[in-house]
Amino acid sequence: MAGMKPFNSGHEDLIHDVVYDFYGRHVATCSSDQHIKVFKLDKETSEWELSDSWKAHDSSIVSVDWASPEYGRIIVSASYDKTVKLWEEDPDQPEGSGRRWTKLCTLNDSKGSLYTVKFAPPHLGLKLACIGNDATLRIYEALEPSDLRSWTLTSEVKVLPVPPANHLQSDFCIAWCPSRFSPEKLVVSTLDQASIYQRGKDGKLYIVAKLNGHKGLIRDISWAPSIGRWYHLIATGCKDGKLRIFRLVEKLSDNSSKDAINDSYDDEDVDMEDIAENKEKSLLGSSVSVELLSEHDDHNAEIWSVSWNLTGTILSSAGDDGKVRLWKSTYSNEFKCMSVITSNS
Amino acid sequence: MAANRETKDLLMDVNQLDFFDPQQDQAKTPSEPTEDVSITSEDMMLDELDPVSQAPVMRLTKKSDQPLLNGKSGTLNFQLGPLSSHNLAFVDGPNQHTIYPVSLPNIDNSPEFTEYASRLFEVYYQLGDHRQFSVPTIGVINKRSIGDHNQVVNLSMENIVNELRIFIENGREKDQITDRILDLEESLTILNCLQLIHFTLDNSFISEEDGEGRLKFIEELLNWVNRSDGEPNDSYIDQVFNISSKHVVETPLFWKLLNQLLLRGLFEQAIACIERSEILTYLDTIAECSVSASIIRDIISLLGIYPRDSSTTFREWKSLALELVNNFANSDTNVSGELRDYIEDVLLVISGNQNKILHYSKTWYESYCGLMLYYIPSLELSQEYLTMSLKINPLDITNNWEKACADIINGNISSILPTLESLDTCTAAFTAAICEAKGLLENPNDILNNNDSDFSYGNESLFSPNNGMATYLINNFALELCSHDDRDLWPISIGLIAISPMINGNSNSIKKATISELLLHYPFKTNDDIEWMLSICAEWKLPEVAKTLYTILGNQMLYQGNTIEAITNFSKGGKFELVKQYSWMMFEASILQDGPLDDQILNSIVSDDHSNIPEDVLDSLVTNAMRQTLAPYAVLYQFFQARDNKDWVEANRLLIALLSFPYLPKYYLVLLVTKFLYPIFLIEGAPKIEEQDVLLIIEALENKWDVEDERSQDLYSAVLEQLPVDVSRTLPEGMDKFINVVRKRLSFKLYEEFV
Repeated sequence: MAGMKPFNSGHEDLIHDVVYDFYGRHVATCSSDQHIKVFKLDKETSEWELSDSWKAHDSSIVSVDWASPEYGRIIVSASYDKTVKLWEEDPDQPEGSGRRWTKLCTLNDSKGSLYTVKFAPPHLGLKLACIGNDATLRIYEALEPSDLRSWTLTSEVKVLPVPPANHLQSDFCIAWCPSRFSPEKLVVSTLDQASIYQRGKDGKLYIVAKLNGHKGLIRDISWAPSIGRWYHLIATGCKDGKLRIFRLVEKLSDNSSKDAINDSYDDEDVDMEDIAENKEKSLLGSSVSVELLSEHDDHNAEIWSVSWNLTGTILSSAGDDGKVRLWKSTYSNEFKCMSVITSNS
Repeated sequence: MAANRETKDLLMDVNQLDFFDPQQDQAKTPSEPTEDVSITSEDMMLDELDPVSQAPVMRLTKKSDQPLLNGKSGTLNFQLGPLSSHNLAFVDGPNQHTIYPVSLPNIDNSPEFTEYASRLFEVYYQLGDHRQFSVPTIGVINKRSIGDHNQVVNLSMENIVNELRIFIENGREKDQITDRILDLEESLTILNCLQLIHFTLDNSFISEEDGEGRLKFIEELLNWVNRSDGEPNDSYIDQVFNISSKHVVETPLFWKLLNQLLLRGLFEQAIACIERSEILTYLDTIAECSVSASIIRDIISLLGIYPRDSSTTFREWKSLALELVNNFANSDTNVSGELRDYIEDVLLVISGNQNKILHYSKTWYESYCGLMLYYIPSLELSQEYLTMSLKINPLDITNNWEKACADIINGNISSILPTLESLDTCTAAFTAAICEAKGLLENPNDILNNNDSDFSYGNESLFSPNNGMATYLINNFALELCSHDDRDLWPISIGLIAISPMINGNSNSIKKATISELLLHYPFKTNDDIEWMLSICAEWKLPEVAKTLYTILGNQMLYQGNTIEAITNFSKGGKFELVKQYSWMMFEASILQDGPLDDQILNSIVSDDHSNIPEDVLDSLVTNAMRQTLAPYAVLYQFFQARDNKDWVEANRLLIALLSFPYLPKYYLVLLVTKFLYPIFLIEGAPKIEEQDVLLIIEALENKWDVEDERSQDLYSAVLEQLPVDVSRTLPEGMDKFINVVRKRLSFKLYEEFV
């Protein structure tokens, strides 16, 4: 722990997101001050140094993400100004100039404030998903790898029949399935529901499973890297004070929609309409079953963030009890809190 | 000082045994914070457990800087990073602008740890086929082969214990934090016990009965017990000898100390204790009891010859001790009844009297050791000794090692592994692997109900319980190493994944998948690093990973301004669109700057002059795809040379080759025409163009000149801006008008040819 020196972000308003790049050597932060900042790690001193800062949007920036290094040095940002913007680092511009990151593109299809934006894992191509207050999941792709300024809206899915009223609390989160051995999949949380979408052979997104049991807004969702495992783990942090860990198992199906549907839903309170909508499941080529692996109320307060480490072996949760809890799976597949980091004592 | 030195004489050889002294190590902890940077582990660690989870608690930062203290509000967020030593917390709240880097607890990034992990991996790797334990069930069972297997595995365990000892010593020399050393010391105590009980007396060459076996066993027994706690300590010995009201031999403390030393097999220290007490002088002159003095002399003699290396001699030694007990019991003495009892108790302890051994033991392991030394030294009685000892002195549950050692003696090895893991994942993983090799761990199929859905799904997971606890720990540790930001640990990680034993026959597929997902996170820096990554890709047949690596490299090169190397890597990565894009970009840049690019490598590739860069280096840079995509630039390069040499025929030939190149993007036609064709060959007084060539140019213009194309328009404007004002004024503003000018001049050229 020695040498871990806190640093002033320099943001002048609420910080909303902090994201590492692929190698963990750079961090991008965003804030209500409408700025994005990029910090780089000085390996010698283990300190974070500001690389550049620039005004990126006309309203609060709530989410940032890094593209995989195989696509260059690219950041995406999402804002309450209803736009998603893509930025590319220009190494010819000096650090700290405010010009080091040049805008590639603005995506302005959203009808409401955006809440989150996430790049897809690189094996799916240069692709991103975003969601906001208009309750519409949008997926964009840079179809020409040689032209990163051109992005195409390839999928648009309404995740709620009616967008939530503005005066009510709402939350939307996205997490992509990071495994290169799985078909394109992502989990989307909308208010207190979380659904797993999978792209079918016809190119459309289908709900293949739901993560049930949440009794409040889902504040964060994180899909674990499934390195060394053939099953997936998804963690959610919820307003009801519970950290939930779901296990998702995929099976290659014989394209039988009936089997696929039966296998996909183990829970009783599944919306039959959803099932009916998903008769095209035979298009998916695989079926998914989800089970709630464990549920932890150690925070005993609203949980705001959950994240997995590089290998999907350690999970963190941070909540309104002012504590970060680090969880690790035991030999018997139980998640146990191995350490607690407190911010208030 | 003299008294203090005498006290030291009664202790075991500290230099040799090197047991742990928390106070001393505490003193070694760095205590000089360097400016405001140093937030030491002491600042962060709270000496308490979380009331809900019972997990250890630490602070995010110094107490005074905690973000949610003193009425500050906001929502706490935390992001685990790709490196275990770099994770970030922040508070989404008013006036909360600080970001808090956090290292995961128990992460050792020291070079000594890297060395330690490497050494243990080497030990494990060299086990070869012995990594797996198999019970021969068919054919002629060769007992010798089992013994040989045990010998190899025992030696590995010995090496692991030695490496741990060295690691601890190195850590102390480097003043590493005390908590870490404490954890390692506990691990060492557990390993010492494990080695003693399960890795000493069962190979081809060593048995309980032979001398070597007994010597090894006794040494390891004494090493385990005495290193575990470092008792008796200095202050206790001082306390015993500093009583002034009575002669020391008249105090019970002295006899307790003497018996404690005896139970721990500290014979030299016990003799020194007797001598320091001056009991012989006391008995000869004060008590005037020659019988007791003689007995003490006999005891000293006996202790001096305790047979560590021979079971036969031990039996003789024990007979002598029993004889002394009898002689003393049948003798009249001139000392107080109390002193006589004390002397008799010493005799009874060394003659193996169970009651006295248990009576004088302060801990269960002292009595266990005493029984092994003086009663019947046999591992077969080990569990019985433990049971007897625990009845008198229960386990101290405030430390980790006592319960683990008791479990080891009871043969319950699996239960110690979580304890070891909590102390040090590296030691735990390799110890588990060696125990697995020795056959000490339960077969997972015996302990797991395969019908249990919890366990039936994950047969092919690296972490499947079906593969056993050792494989689980090894693979967990392997993945942990990838987050250390230490390139030297990666080969160990990949190596462990590769060789970890798995039950499922298809294990290679999950190993391959794991390596393919991990490898790209390798923090490469040098060419050697990249070569290593590619060698792993080749070994595991991971062409897609290699391609991704090349693409990442390509982007890095581009970022550094090394375009040719970037294109080479894109080409190797199969990103031919990018190869084309950047090749054409160089072509465009060269036209716009009206000459070859200032890139030595590029120009060496396209020219015959290889004086600057050796040909073999160029060959390694230029892929087949690049030969094609760089061809237009090569022609352009030659065109520049011909133009500069005023070789108009050659220049014309090369330009027409470019203009009529079927794969030339249409927007570059504008560039070639405005920059070269028109000003060099079409203006008045320009060199002649053959009729046939004029026709080729007209054909190219007909096919590709697109006045609607935005990129073409942009490039035309760019060229106009570049041209000197007097020249640009001669050209029309729009492409549509310019083509008319060009056509007119071409017609004139045809006419000129005809005339």
